Amino acid sequence: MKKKDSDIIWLLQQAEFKQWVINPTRESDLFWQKWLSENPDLKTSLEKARELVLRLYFKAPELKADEKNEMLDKIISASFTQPSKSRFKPWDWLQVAAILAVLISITIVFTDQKYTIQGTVEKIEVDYVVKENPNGTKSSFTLPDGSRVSLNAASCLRFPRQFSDSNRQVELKGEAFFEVVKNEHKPFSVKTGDVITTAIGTSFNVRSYPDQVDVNVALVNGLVKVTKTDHDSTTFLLKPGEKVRFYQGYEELSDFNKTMEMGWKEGILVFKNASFNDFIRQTERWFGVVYEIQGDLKKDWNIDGRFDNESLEEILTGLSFSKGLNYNINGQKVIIELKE
Amino acid sequence: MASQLKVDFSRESNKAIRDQEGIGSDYELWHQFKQGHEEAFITIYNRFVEDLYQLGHQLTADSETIKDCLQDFFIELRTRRENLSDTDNIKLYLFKSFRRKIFHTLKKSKRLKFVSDQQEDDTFPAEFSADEKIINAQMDEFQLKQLNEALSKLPAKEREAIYYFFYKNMSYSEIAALYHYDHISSARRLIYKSLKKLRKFLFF
Repeated sequence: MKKKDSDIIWLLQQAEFKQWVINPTRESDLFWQKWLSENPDLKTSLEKARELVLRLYFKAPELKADEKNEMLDKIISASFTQPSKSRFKPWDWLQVAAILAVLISITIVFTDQKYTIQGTVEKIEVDYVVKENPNGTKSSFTLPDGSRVSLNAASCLRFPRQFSDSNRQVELKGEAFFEVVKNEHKPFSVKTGDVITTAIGTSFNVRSYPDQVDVNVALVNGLVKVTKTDHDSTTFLLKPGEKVRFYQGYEELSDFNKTMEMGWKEGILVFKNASFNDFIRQTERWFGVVYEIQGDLKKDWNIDGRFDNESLEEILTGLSFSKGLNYNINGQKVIIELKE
Repeated sequence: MASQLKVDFSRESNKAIRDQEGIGSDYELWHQFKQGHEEAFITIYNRFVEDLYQLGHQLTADSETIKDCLQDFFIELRTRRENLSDTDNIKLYLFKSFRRKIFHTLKKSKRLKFVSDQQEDDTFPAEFSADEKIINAQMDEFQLKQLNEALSKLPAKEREAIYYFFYKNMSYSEIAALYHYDHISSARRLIYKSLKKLRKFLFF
């Protein structure tokens, strides 16, 4: 047999191997499972090689969403005000024209919004795209206008293949984080049940799972308007750092904790005053598992906790001490035995 | 027993959620951009600007220079859009031309030390992070420290290749294209050469 270290190097050289580690799919999972059962003595090598790829890190700061938007604005306006070859230097005039254009578009925005409130939305026949994540899967993708969406597990987003000329409306079930490309002419709105969130050049998070009765909207930057389209159309204007929660017929405006609202994007699972049922529901969605509960709950839980990219096993191990439970993870099925 | 061999592939790393799909094919999107579709441009910008920004940061820590460079780069793309060649791999196209641009800019401003000087080269600062939580972790801190030392001694070009292959999930043929190699096997050899230097730290 070859030396162990060259097995690791051999694995690392295989494009299929690193592809699987970085971007696993059902097929590649199966392939490497099978490979492992044929080469059981290489289990450690495989784990080491995989660990190296996952640990590899190149330091670089992130480009913040507002810096990104600001740069895009500059790029687009720079291409419009390209110095012309003309002797008359119309550059100054172009700049004036650009400022006017902005003022005009702002007026258009307000008119547009008014129409939205009155519900006169033009219905155009369009093709729709539906992105749906099962339990345990998160995804991120770009909308036709360039806006970015991070879609949480057990969530579904429906949007037109091509946005209409007047607006950009998407429909959400579950939870998503939006980084919206600025476009004053086409307000961007997210519909969740009877709550509509409208934004212009903004990052925000919307959560509304069918098994949770409330709708949560939290704003990172920009400005959004949240409207509940019931009989009296309650409207909130959110400022960065604020969130609104619609719950059983009343509304609550508050500041929010960024990790609590948006940690899911970075793989941080957060519990706040979570009951046993909350815990079960949240982890089912997060890890894509199904529980079988044995025994009775003597005293309901009320847990606070933050788990940064931890596995279900690690989380359950922690809880097994404090809450007195046994667990058994078998693939997607998890048995929890509540002790006396 | 089969169940004993089972490796847990659960979501322990958010690297898996790195950018995936988009709308339509690259060829189509690039074509639309060339024809002047603003939404196509914004899609391209949003999809790649962070990648390019991070690539810039492998060569200099000066964020302002990178941002200036990046802004110019996209403005140039837009003004020359009608004359750009077709591509079915936008990421490769942008990486290739931005890499060239940033090398050029930094060389002009002399902020980049070149590999040929054989001085300490701090570009593409790679490390095996001990922070990443791994199930069934096999490496200990000491081993990681040694590996990191070995990484820092690799020629910048090899660290750069590692960056593209393992960190940006590029293929051998994409790396060959980036380095203007005639043969894909040259890219393979480059990766193999750099891995071989880490070999002695991988035992145990």
